[in-house]
Amino acid sequence: MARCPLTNVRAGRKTVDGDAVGQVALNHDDQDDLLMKRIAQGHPRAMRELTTMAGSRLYAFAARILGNNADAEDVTQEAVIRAVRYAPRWQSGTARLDTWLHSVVLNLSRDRLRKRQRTSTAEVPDSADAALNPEEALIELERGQQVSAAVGQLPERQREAIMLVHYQDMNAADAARVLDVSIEALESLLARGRRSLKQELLAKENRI
Amino acid sequence: MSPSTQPIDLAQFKAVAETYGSDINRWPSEVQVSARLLASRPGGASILQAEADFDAVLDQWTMPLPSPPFRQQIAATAANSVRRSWGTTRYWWAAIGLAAALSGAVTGTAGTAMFVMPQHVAGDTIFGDFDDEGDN
Repeated sequence: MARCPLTNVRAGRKTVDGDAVGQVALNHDDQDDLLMKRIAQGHPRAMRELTTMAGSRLYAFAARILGNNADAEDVTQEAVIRAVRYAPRWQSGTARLDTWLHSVVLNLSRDRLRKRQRTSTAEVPDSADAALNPEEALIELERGQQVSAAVGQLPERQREAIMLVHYQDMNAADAARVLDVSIEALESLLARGRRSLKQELLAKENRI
Repeated sequence: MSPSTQPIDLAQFKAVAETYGSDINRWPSEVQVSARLLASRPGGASILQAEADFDAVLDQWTMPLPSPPFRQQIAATAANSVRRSWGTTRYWWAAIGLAAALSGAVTGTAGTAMFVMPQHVAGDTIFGDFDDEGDN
């Protein structure tokens, strides 16, 4: 297994439960506690915040994993239902809400993929920018599909690591929590994933 | 420099950049201070630019926003879940109230029975005290 040289730099931090991670997460804990408390009470503004997040960020994550809009919508809805039901029992300091929701979406999506027994590249949603002219839109769509196909060919864990860190803009600690791995393991997955994608995509660009 | 920050050299900077990409905010928090310093120098800047170019390639895979009806549907689902949750809570409070009432009734009955019991003497029946009659 390829090891990232960064492992040698951070000798004192072997898992995501380390102090440094905890200090970073503390800033978000109070906000998450308050939000979940208000969701449990059915506070309209808190509910809007949850559904806005689900309708954009979580949906995009599910859609990338599943490659299917209908399944992504189902998974997103289920994640919202679980968040609302879990809200009264939310415990401070266990996880960040964003991380927790991503874990729920990831697990639900994995279940769906296992049931379907096919890869996420089977159905790539159309995603060209409507503001472009048809020719530009087609080129952009093709490029997007090439990237989607390349990411879809990665081993499952590498694909998930790339999606969380690059596409969901998650930091190392949160992505490691969602995948339930150490930061060193996450780095190994990311490094191998990005290396494979570079070989695949940059070689394709050079051929063009 | 705070205790949670660790200095890295250019080789380590390159390794981290190739792992996490060009956005230093995604990097492990303890190397970010050192990384920003290196990124401001020519060697680090060129490494970061190469990763930014690759990030731009990855960003070509965009996702469309879900349709407005779906967003409304999520909002409705969330609201229904809260109502169901409150309905369940009310059900449990009702059940607890009923249980308390029943246990009160049982306690009252048992208490009354215990209060009467000491006056009861062996041999007493509702038809009279057979032992007393026998003794006489």
